[in-house]
Amino acid sequence: MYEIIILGKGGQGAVLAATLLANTAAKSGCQAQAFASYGAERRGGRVESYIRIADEKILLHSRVYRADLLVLLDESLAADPQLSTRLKKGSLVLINTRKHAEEFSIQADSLIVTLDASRIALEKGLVLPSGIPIINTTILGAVVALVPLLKLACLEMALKEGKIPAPEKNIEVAREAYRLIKESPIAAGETIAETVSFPLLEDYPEYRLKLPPCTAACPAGEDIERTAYYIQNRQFEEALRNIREENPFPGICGRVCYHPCQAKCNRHNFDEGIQIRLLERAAFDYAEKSSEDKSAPGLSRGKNVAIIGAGPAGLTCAYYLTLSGHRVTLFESASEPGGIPRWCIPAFRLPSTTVREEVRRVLESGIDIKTSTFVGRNISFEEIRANYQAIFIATGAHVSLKLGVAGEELEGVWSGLEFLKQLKSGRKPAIRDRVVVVGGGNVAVDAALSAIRLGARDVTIVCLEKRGEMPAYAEGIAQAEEEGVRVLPSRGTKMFIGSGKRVSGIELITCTSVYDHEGKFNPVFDEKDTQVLPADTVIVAIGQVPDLTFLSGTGLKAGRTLEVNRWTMETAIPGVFAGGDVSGFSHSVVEAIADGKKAAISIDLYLKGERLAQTKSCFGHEPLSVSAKRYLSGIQEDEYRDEVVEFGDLTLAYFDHRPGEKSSRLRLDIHRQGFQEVESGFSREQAVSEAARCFHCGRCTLCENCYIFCPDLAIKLKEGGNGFMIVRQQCKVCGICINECPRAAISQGGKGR
Amino acid sequence: MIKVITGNEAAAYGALLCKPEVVCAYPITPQSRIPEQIAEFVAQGLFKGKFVNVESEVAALGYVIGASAGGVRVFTATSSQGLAVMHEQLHWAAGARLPIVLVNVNRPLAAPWELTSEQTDSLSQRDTGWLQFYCESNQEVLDTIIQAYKLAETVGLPVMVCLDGVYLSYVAETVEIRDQEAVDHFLPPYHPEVSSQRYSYKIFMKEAPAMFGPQGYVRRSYMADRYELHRLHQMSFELAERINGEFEQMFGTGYPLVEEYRADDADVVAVTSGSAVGTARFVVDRMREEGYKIGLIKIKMFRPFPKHLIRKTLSGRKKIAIIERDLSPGQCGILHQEIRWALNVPGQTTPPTYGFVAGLGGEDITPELIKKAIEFTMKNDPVDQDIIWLGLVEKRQYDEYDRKTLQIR
Repeated sequence: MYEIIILGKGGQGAVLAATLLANTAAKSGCQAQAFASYGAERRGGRVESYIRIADEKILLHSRVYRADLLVLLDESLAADPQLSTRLKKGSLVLINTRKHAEEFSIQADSLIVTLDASRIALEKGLVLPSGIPIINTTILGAVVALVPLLKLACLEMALKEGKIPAPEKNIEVAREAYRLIKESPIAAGETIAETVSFPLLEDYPEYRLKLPPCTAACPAGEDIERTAYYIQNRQFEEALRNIREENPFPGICGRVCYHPCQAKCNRHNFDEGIQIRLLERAAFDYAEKSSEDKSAPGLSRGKNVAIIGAGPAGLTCAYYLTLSGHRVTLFESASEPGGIPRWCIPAFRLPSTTVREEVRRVLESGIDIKTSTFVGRNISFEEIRANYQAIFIATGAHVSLKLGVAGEELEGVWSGLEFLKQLKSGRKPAIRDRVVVVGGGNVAVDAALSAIRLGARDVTIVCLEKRGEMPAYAEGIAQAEEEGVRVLPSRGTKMFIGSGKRVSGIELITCTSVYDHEGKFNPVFDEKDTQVLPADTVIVAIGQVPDLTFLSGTGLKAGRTLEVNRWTMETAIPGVFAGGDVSGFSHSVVEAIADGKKAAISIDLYLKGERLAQTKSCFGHEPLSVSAKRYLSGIQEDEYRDEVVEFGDLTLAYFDHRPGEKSSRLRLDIHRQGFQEVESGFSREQAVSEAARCFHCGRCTLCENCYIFCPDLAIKLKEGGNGFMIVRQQCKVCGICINECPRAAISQGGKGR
Repeated sequence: MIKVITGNEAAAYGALLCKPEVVCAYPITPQSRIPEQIAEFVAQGLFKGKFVNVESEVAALGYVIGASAGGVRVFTATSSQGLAVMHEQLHWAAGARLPIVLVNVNRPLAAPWELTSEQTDSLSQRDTGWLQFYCESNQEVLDTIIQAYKLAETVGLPVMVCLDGVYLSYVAETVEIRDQEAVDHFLPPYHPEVSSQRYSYKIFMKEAPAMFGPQGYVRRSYMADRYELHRLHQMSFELAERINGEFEQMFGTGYPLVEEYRADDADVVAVTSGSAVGTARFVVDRMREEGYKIGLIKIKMFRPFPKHLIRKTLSGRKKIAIIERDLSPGQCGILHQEIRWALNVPGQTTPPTYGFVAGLGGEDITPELIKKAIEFTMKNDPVDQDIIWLGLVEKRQYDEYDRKTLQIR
């Protein structure tokens, strides 16, 4: 009588395998008996089944205690030290594993045969919906090959009649396993000492951090999910600290960022996306400032770095370089640092007090700044090069483009930047009643809104682009129209009309297209379609370019903008880096901040003799953001797996629909009248409530769903309680935890999702 | 047709072949596969009767009692807790003389919970008036069900067919599914009008009665009714033997109500029932090969207790080792009691009996264990011990139990 024991975890099909094997034996002309031994339903995960094959009728109705063939469906079962008590002398052990037989030691006189049944099943697509392979029928093919009494044809018949789904696939995998075993040295009867090995995927579930799509979309790579988590728990200070690990200016960004993160928020496929910008603002507004820790790192590395330009890019670079231990000197041409946020963004969007507070905080970490110092006038670039080991150029783009039409020199014609800068300097530009703003970008919109507040009766924006093509942020355009600004798209400027020395009108021509078929700026006009707008003030805001005259003679190639490596912030000169508006590809505050941070890391590596481009993936995530937190803390790349969580990965059943909070604004009639902030942002309660809507994609929030649903009690809290872990001896890889995690924080091991 | 099927599936096939008109069974481990398999037969169009889902075993037995009283062949199945909850109606069915066939998969009764194998559940219902049979193999389960219907409908009593949980219910073996025509021939359709004698009330009247329920006290007929019940049990014994003979003639296999296996010259005779019989046969064969004179007695029919057959095979034996999977706490194993009662013949000494209790709570009765029991019997004089515990893993002396160590979490 030949006796077989199959050991497996519940769900691997040990019981069905035994029944199929008994059927196979019966069809092969033997007497057969098969039965299973369960625990109470769902206890632990372990299932044993037994098969007896004989010529005469089998009378025994008792378990098989020692087997001629022991089958382990799961290699973790091989770790049981009591396995040798289940074997007869000279028996066979068949293990589903990728490992080699030599790696197992069960009993000295047992022959171990290993087979990667998981791989075979996966290749043929025999998997559960969660992606876990179904291996029992593969193993049966191997068993039939090992037990001479059994015939493969009979197994195939049993599979066909066995009322299992996809019988053909199961027959295929059984055949494949049979073939592999038959071709091995054992089956050929050559040597017993050799063992046969074929390579199990490590398919236990694992908790692994993934990237939420908001972080992936943020140029600065902010850990937005963590911020929401802290705000949800009313920990505004921690939220603020968390943001500052990647972005030193949450107060500024929380008011003016164009929030590319929000468009990618997974929740907007569900009801409304999270209003991340307003959350960031709330963190800044409500965190207690006195409890900030002023990190004063040791100046251990002690190199000197010069940064030209103290706007968001320059200041950010200075901040992270100081955290890395370098001595930084900022050269700023204006009387105050802050760049565009300080000098150009109107106060009703971004009060100067906020900017000053943010800048002061950054400078407090020990950064030397020389204001009113114009590189190229007060000090030469070469002098800086001589005295500093690295330079970051972040001078921005402050030269307004001109239209180049007649009448541009008339009184009352302003450049947009100049107009806004005057306002932010505390002066009141003298404008009159009828204002026309030329341009379709944010400067134009800001200028128009400022003109309203200065009392202009009639403000019009004219731009080349169609309404939908205007590069200004949609929110700004909407606010302008709400406040009574008229928008005339698809119009170019032919010329200005003067009355005496002052402008009195603007002749417009219709623009039929702005970009050509290659996407290049190439406006086409209809000369016949013109109109004249009366205007006693014109503000031209058609773009800004950097002033690179200070770099003449350095050999740095300069077209309109500086040529910069987008990833490493390197210029053609080693040790000279650049970023922000000066580079021509970063036009928003957050992108400038991202550039500054990248430059800081790039410079730190440069000063160590390395290059950012050569380091492994640069601790960052697609597309081009870098994580200062990872870099400074030295976390190795493998600890994070940067898979972005897609909407389809979530299990939505555990979320309730709830619309977003509505932040408050000043009343229209009030906010038109002065330069006070229009938006008031969320209240504390609103911020907490909005943050609670965050799905926390790819991050475990200890919601305990996995813990509750695991049928085998195979999930427990880690020591310290900061997460869950899988108890592998109990886990039968049923995949329920993976399916029930609302936020895709658990994945199948190996390459599984 | 030969199939490799489990005990539960064999029971379902047995029921299918007998064509009951109503099947009503509530699922319970380790029996669930029986109603499940019959439901599959319904889905396949093989089962033409009515398959009814109810909310508990009380409802299940109640339903088949009603159906049976209405004059149709019925089937139900249960186990342990389910059988226990049916207890009241078990008495009822026998008192009402309803030819119900119930398959009981033997499982331990809680507390504590165990979902495996033990015969106390059905043995402790021995006073309900049901006929009881214990099966050794899946083939026997299928065949006994067919015989049970014939017996039930002939004598007018309910029959319980028992099989061990796990060791038969989950074990797949080769079974010959009897040919339907042959079964139809052996077991004709059930027409209550032509059934045998009834006493004290009429059922199956031409018109539906206004009320159904035999009254005892009004006509002082209860005791007489019980007298008849007992008489019917005594009759069933011969009827069962006759039916088994007919079955053997028709199908080639028969099952003696009490079977002797290699027991003629045995020094020690082991007595057991259920799945352990097969294992015991195996041990007897091995020990005979080694030169020991060992025999086996299988008890298939338990109610009525086959006193004459027991006396015939066990009287005058040198030593009797009773190995059973049940317990009546406070006394001893149930088979042991019954056998000693049967062997109590005036003027004769009862042979020495060794009452082994094994396999409670699903513990495996292994060949080694049976061999141990037989060797103990061979080596030792009769012990003055009600129960010889076989295969007990842990002995707990409860008077030593320290209540102070009780912890509440």
